[in-house]
Amino acid sequence: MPDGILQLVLLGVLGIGFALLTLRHPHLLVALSVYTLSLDYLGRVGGSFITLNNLLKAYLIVVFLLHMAQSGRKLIIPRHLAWFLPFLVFLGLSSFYSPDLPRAGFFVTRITTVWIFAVIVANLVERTSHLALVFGVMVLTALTVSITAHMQTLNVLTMAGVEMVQKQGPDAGSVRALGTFWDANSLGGFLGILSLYMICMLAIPKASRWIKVGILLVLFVTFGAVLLSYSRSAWILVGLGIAAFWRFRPLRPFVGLFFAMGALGVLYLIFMTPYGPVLMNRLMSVTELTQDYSGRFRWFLAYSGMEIWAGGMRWLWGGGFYSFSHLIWSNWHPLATNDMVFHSGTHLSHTLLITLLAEGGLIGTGLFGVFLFAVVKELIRIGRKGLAGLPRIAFVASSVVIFVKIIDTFLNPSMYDNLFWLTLGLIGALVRFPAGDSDAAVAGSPVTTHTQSQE
Amino acid sequence: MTENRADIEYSLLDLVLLFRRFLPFVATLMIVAMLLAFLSVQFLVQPRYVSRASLLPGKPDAVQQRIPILERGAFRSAFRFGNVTTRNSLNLEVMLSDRVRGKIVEDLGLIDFFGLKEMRESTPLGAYQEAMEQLTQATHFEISLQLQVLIVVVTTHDSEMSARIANHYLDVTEQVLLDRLRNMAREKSRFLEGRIEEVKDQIERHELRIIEHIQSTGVGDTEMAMESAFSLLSPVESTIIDLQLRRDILAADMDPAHPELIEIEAELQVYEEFIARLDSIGADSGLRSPVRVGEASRTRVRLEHELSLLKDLELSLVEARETARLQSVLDMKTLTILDHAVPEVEPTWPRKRLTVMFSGLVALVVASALALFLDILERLGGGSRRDGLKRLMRET
Repeated sequence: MPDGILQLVLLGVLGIGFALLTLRHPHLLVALSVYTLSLDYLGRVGGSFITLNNLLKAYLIVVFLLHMAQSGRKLIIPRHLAWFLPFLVFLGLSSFYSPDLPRAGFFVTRITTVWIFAVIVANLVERTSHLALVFGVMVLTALTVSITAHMQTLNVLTMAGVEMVQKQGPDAGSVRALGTFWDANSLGGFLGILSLYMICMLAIPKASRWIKVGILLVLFVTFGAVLLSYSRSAWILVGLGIAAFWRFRPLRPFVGLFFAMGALGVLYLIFMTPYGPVLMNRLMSVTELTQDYSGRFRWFLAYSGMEIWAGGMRWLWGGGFYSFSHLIWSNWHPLATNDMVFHSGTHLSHTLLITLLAEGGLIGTGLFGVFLFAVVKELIRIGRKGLAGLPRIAFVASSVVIFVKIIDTFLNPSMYDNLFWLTLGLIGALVRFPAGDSDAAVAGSPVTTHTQSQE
Repeated sequence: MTENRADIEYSLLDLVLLFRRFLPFVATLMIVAMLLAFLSVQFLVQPRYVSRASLLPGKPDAVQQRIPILERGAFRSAFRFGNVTTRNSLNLEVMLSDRVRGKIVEDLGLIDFFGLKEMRESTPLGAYQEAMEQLTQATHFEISLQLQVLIVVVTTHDSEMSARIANHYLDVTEQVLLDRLRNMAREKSRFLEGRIEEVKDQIERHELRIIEHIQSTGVGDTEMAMESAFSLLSPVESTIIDLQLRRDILAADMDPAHPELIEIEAELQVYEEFIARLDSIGADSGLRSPVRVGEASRTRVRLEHELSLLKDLELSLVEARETARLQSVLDMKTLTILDHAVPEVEPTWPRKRLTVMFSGLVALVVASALALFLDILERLGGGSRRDGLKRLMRET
């Protein structure tokens, strides 16, 4: 049998086997989703918008419904996710006065899917072992994606040569690692969030020294990949996240270590590799955000977004979901150059806050604010509950991720970040975990019922 | 506290019942949304037609930069390098200029087309400005991923006019670029004219100097030819003269430390030392010196060489002037047009079926989300949505 067909048959058998396994243990799909999230570009079927991750989400929904039908499992809707429903209703209604209803409708469907995904994550992560599995896949995913990013960087160096690398300006355009992502900023953001989760894993009380050393090594590789993505917002995100861990006593010793490690890594790259000048340019450009092209572009997008918001009654209900790309043509800031006008990033303002104001007005922004407020309140409640062990680790990681993502709304426009929604799902799961250090399943879950019946 | 909170739970049956309960609401909302969408796209929304024209950059062969393009294989071929050639930015800047837009407004009568006829009668300049603005709103530009192909996208309510505007963008841009080139060529021609006159003067002065030199030294063509023929060292001396001339020409533009100059100096030194040594051997041994080219002849050669350079310069200036003159009158292609715009038969907006379909889908999402939220409130409030909302707020 030819090798290709043999591989296909093996993959098919493995795929069917895994599919059957997940019918019985659907939490495996949640863990697997962490990996498929990383296949942003490479996982596209035929180069279309159908990604492996979207297929997995669809399969996850089907499996969950089958479970509901078969085992009488109940769908639990976490309170913070319930608060997203009014915003979703508003998004749908605002699509009807958006200049491009089909496009807005597509994104309404997309955001509905990620909401359902978060709800199902909240339902399926029921035991400490499930959390451990998700964390394990996070480590493996971070490792594979980071290695890909490092390989690409070496590829660039060998194929393009030292001279081209050193000629890069502050945008570092041609030498940024993309990993498995279409965009270097997506890679940076993705690995940034995963690295925050991994930092937390260092405080797992029952983890052996070897596991912690392994996580530290993966973290080292991941930090390197975040650095090589040249994503400034990812650097800020990771830096803020690490600083936030200062509040968590078991991780306090690591905060200084990571900052020292980061500084040493940067110094090594600057002085010992051909990437010195370009990294230096990129680092310095953070302080020149009002002067360089990218910085000015962001400000003009923000001004233009405010212009859109201020027009007519848009201050109240906005211009309609996904209307920014249409309305900006008549609201460009007068000093924006033609280059900026035709920049590919004009479909959204570079901050979620201003995009929300322009597209949803005060009503839309307010409803999204209520949702975020509900998330924060839910985290405070979980914090008071007194979780211990791995759930406590997951809580700390989720809190830091939500904290940095809220700050990130000022730097980036997307509300579809899958890891953000996975975190929201994990928060929903943590609500139901019992207080104290327990490996038991959450109360009322089918896992508990099954265990009790066995006893 | 959290521990006292009841989960918001739904069994599959609950979901089915919920759907059944809200089915009339969901169905009505979907039908109304789809009907309204259909009526809007069918009768209210004016159809819009998009036309696209595209062009390549000016010098597609000139590679400006190499950029990595992501490939599918993560390890074996993560990147492929693509050449970014001359960008279309100049064409884009020209297309966006007031001059091009103004010309399109005038040539195609866009003031009338955009319904500004009345405004033109009261405020002609205002109508003109408004038409320019509406043209800007009707036009989008797209640049392909590697900044190679510039696409002019025009959307209006008239299929023919969309295509005419898109094509006229190319025509006017081409004309503007041609005017610019012709103006530059005329300027160049004028400059060259003056420069040729200067060079002619220099040639005349040089010829006079040569005549004066022949008269003062008495070294005419015959004497020079005999000296060269009888001189045993003629080839060496001729090389020395060539090297000296090259050195003098280069020294006018180059730094004395330039490697080429240093190399010429070194070569000269070798030849001059060789001649000096021969002279010294001859003097020491009492032998007669070989017949040598005299100083006067050497100066004459130098002057003639300079004259020949000036004549070459004059010739090249004349050639350049003729090319510039040609450029100032010839019809040249300044754009490489990839595709001309053609009128669309079907309107590109509204996309009727897609709009109706998405209206139904969005209405389904809106109705379902609303139904679910209201049901959650009822469950939490024991049947009262108000109490449910209070409880949800309290328990969040």
